[in-house]
Amino acid sequence: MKYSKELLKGSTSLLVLSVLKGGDLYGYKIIRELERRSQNEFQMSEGTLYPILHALEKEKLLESYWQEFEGRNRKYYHITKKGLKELAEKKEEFEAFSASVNKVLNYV
Amino acid sequence: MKKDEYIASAVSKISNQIAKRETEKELAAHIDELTEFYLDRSSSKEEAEERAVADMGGSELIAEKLSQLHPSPISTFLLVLTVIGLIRLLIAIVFYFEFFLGGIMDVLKEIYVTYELMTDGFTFFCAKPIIVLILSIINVTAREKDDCPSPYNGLLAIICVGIWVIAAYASFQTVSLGF
Repeated sequence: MKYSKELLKGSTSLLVLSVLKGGDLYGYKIIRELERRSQNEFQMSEGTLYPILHALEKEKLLESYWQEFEGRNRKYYHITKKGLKELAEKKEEFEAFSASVNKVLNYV
Repeated sequence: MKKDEYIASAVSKISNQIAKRETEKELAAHIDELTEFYLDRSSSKEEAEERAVADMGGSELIAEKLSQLHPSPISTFLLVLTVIGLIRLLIAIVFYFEFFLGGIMDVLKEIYVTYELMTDGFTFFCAKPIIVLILSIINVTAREKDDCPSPYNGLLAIICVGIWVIAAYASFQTVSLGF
């Protein structure tokens, strides 16, 4: 199902932080992991991901480092303590918002 | 679009040179991973690379977003210096006309004169703006040929130098008049 840009816009940072909570990953793997977890519902374009990663790093929610693997240099991202706290807050906010929307939509 | 073309376009608006080089490497690594993924599904490496680049999305959009995230450190530095220069100029002007304000100015004068004496006078205040101007010229001329050169840094450097020189001259006059 293709979701509207407006719906996705507010959630992409939350999704990226959530994926990185599971462990350090590099850009390509973050997209693949997001697809896997959402069973291909979320297919983020590569070009969308990097501004998000850089913005989160600028806010100190992520840290990055380079690591060589089989002759290839990859930039890994690691979620910081501040990032974990932000993720928990955003997750709580999203769940509350989602529950409220459902109440209105399912109101009889 | 070829890989190198795409990357050059995507990072073209990043003015921070360190961030630009890092992002180039990062995007290149990603395209290489995607190319490898498409290699089994394509008739040639070139075709696989084309599909990988197509998956990356529009380079102009990513360029715009990345440029906002990575401002030039020189611009920030010059802005800070300009603000400091303006404050110094304001203090020097106020001290020159201090008879309008009375008592509080005497206290500020003491602090200001002490600062002036500690920082070794007129020559020191002129050297700093010249260093700022040189750094700004280096930053502007270091841009790639294809980039749109921004006159912003050069203009800001000139304004900053002007303010510092005026502030330095004013403060020199203030000190030499024995305040």
